[in-house]
Amino acid sequence: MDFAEIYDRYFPGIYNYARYRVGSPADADDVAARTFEAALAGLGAYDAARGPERVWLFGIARNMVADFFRRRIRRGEVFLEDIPEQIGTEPHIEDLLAGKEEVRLLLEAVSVLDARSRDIVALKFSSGMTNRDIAHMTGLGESNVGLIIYRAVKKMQASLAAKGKI
Amino acid sequence: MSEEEAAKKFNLELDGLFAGGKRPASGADPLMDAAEKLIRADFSGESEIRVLLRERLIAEKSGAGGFLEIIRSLRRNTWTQAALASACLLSLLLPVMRTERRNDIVALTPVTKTSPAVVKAGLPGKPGNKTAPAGNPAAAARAIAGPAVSDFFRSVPMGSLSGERLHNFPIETSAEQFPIVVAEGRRSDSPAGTEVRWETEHVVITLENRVISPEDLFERRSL
Repeated sequence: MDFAEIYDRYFPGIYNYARYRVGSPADADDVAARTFEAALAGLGAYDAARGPERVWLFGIARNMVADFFRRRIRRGEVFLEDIPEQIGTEPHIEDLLAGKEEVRLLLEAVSVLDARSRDIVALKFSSGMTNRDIAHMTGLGESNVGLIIYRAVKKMQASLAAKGKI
Repeated sequence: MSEEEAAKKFNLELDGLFAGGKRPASGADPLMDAAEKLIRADFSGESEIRVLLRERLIAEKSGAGGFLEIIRSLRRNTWTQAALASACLLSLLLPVMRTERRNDIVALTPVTKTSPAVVKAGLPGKPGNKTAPAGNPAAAARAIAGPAVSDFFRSVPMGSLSGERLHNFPIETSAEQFPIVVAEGRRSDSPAGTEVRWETEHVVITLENRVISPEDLFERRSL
């Protein structure tokens, strides 16, 4: 298993997952960097028999996001997961010019979810993992994961529809 | 249709989308529209570290991989394995060997008197003892610690220790006796103290007993 190949294949997914979870691009960069540093350090200990590399890597990313919020709490900062800091209610002109309005609206829609739903939706749509893998990673039941995803997408769809985007 | 059934149907279609399949042509489904948007979304273009992080991590991996490759190549060679095993064994035993040698040296210190070290080592420390003759450290070392420690002590000719020949010392012998004559002991001119003089063939040695100050010995300078 070549690390460069892993990096190229999974960086977008890991970054997207972090972006869904932590909000700002800079923080997502930080989480992604820590994830791949840890993956490189643990590459020798990775056992393919224990699970696919996708599950292993997103498991690391999930831990890094948890560490990120723990550090924030320790430093007395605001719990950003509950506040969509980087996502304003009005579209920025730069985003519109760059064609990023849809991205902004999607992130805004995800930000209305509770922490657990956001984690599961982020895992699902960033990694493409099966509900069984997500259930194994999060400790939830497989059918429960499916139900959480269904409800979350429904809620997000309502948010997008309210802005006339769907 | 209950919520559980709807969720099951939705997840089946979602997995089909992830697998690269097409959406069923059953009409507009706003939920699947939202899901498609989420699947297509890619924010990684916003990353400012992607390229630099890749270069750094791959450089780190190359360094670690090179080291690991050296270790692997060493492990393939039987002779190298034996040499590594010997080196490991030696490095483990070396502190023990040093400790034993240090104990031997400690045992040499009480040649003329009894000390705690001697008591601890269980060695006799009285002067005149046959196993530890006083005044002869080399013999004491041989007697107490055996031949292994005697290598530490070797007699060195006095000529190699002094820079000058002995006969240059001002006191010369005459008929196996030192011709030192005590001339007199008299009070000196200093405020307090006495002095004693020895007169030899060539020099006069004066031993003074008087109070001195640091300035008599050292030169005091100030900036």
